[in-house]
Amino acid sequence: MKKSLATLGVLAAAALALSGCTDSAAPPAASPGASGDAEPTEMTTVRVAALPIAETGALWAAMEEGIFEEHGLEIEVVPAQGGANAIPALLSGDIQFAIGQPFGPIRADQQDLGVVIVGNYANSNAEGDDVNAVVALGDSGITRPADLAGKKVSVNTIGAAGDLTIRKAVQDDGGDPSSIEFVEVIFPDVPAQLEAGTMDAAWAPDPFRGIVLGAGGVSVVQPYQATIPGLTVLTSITTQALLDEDPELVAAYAEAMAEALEWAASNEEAVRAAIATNLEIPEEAAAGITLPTFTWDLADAGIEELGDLAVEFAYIEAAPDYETMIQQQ
Amino acid sequence: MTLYTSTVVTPRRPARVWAKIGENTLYAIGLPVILVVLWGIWATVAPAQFFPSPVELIEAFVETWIGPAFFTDVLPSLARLGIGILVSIAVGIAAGTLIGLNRWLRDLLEPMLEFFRAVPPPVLLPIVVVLMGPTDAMKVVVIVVGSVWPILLNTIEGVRSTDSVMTETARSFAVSRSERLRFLVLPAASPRIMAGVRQSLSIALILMVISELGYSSSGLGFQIVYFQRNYLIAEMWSGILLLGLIGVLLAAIFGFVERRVLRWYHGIKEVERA
Amino acid sequence: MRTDVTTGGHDEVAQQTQTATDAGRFRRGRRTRSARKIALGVAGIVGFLVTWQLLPTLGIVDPRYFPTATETLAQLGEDVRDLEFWRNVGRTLTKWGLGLLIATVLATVLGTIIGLVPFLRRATHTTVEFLRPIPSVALIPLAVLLFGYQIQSALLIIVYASFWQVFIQVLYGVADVDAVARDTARSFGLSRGSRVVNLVFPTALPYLMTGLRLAAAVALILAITAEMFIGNPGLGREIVFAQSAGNWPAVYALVIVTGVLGLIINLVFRAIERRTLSWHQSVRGEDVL
Repeated sequence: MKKSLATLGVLAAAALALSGCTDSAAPPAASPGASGDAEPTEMTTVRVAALPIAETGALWAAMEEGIFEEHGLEIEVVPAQGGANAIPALLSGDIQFAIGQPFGPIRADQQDLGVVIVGNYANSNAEGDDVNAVVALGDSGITRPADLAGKKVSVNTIGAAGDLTIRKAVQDDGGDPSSIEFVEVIFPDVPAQLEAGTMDAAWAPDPFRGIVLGAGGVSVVQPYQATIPGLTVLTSITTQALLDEDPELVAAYAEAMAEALEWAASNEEAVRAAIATNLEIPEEAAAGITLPTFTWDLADAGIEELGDLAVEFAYIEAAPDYETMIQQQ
Repeated sequence: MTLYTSTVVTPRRPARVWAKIGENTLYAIGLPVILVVLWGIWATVAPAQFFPSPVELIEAFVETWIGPAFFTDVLPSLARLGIGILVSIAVGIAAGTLIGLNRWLRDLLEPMLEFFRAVPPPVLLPIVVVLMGPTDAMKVVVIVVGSVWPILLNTIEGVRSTDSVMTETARSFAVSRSERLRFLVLPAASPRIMAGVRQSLSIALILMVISELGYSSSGLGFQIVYFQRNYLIAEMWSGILLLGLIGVLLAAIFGFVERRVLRWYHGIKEVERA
Repeated sequence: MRTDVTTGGHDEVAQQTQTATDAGRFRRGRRTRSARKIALGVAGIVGFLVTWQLLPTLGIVDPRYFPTATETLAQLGEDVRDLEFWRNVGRTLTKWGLGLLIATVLATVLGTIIGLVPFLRRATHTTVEFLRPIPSVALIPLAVLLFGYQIQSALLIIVYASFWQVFIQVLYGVADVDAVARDTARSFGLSRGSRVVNLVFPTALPYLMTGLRLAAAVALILAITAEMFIGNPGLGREIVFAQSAGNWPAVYALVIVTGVLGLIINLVFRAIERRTLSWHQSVRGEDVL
């Protein structure tokens, strides 16, 4: 009995192997823009933490285009599942760079941990369709920011730019921001929870915002645009320690990223294709996503305004030391 | 010649009550005190970024938890824990008794129960969370879904292995089914059931923390993660300390309840061992 | 049957025939009994799958977030052919095994030392009883701060929880040495080391095996928890990614995989425990569950 089970197991394994295994983690086909004729430069592996969201499309597309290879960098994308854990990983030296929202460094700066924003990554859109919005069901009776007072609103992370800008927007519209009950719900679950009625409104980006709106929902407010137009969505973060120990690496990364982001800003198709591949969503869904403005320049990022807003609403105790926290490369 | 018949009286040794109390206390707090002192010295000599000194920790503990946070975070978490444990016990014992008494039901459900028991409870969090939303009921369900298994399986085992001689005797004495259940089956199974409850207590505590890691805006587990996100190290440690104290409290309450419920069992064991 | 039994010889033959038929009936009864058991078990599994298929199909639960059995099993079939899936299984099992190993070694050494010296037992009692109930998940924030995504952060959580399971069992085991045997060994002049090897270890071994079985289950739970909440690569992280992508068949498929993994670990360690228990007949408190 045992022997026949064993042979059965071996045969099954062999059958599996012969039937052709797939490999979902196999690297994509060789990039067309790779420098084949230049002498092979020594490639430095750089670990970059990035969230598995649409905005990372620019990074993926640029990697495929070979832009980082040209600068002698081999990027290893470490999928993060919440910016919160990326900063401790940076501090422990596990990763070199992180692409995350600016609130992480702001909070780290409160404790003088030596986390530095060295460049931008993506800004929200100052006009027209913004990258995210607060949505509610069509029959919820919520049409403007002031209606959110006293309601249950979901954000993906409490204590960050989402709920902060929503509070400000509600206050500007005449409502009482302290009466809003914020809950943490991950973006993909937003349509379901809104429908189930477990919350009244939700802050969400595409494609989830699109799903709610397509089912008859309403866009209540675009909080970034309403408070700090063009507010940065994601920035490039590293540590002071890395800046001190290996400034050449940071400089190379900065150059590569600046070029990559500029390229991505004018190659929307490639970015959407990369999103569709990496997030495994259909191309039509990728086509409907509102893309942010990819840029390395921190000039209009609005981080200082965000920090001041955070102090105003008592999210942090004191204003961050912008000089040490932001060092544009 | 008179016979000296009085018994010999040896002087009683003075009761060393205070010495005994002192000795026990010394054993109880000796090592912890030494460890805390060592920790304090290490924190002063080589302060580590993520390890506060004992003084900082106590300060943070008092500041954080003795105040409004106690009512907004700690009590709700404990309430959900308590409800979750009670529901697990009720469901576990009820279902376990039903399944344990009916052989065909046991055979039918055994493979599925073995499988469900083996699923690591945290894995079910995304599922429960999306099906039930950011509600208190969701958190209680997460606790129940993980901590019901030891009680359920132990009850099945305990009920199944009721001594057949006693069962036959009870039946021949025309003891009704419900009376048999109340006075024979359940008491006989109670040592095993209690062992299951003990296991499920620690699982319930773990799940209480995990249930607050997704879709939460308050609660003890949520607060600890919030402190971590804001690099409030001493506060984070104070939360861990509080969780430890709650765990100790739970174990103490359980020990007390177990000793009462299983008085008769411990008595029998003592007689056997003597 | 024969009613006019007169001689003893006839009686014996009749007796033997009766016993033979009874034995045959008993064996047949045993076979039908286990066949029935298997049939019912299979029926249970089938019934579960049918219920699972019906619930979303009939709309009792939202089919977007609760895929049918066929969808999930199809996804599972795809996963099994994916090399990256097996790599993730390997990653989860690696941290499980490493954590279990470290915890067992630490717990056996410390448990033996403390268990054998009564003074140490008494002195450490309160500390152990305080540290033991601290849920390992409470240490996740600390692990993240210390180690980020590296495997050490997962190992911290896994080792902390598994350690206590083995430690407590070893403590009980070492203390359970039969008093008569111990005194006999001493009066026979056995050296301390020899006593430990020949007396303490065999007594404590079944306890150690129980602790190992409990710790193996706990280690798997915490390995997956670490992957889910810290972000170490492995099955747990895949579940979170699938959840983020709204790919519910993948989530459920992975849940099944973790259940199967847990089941296999349970069965293997239960078998190991039974083997070491088979020759040992001490009276033990912890149940084999």
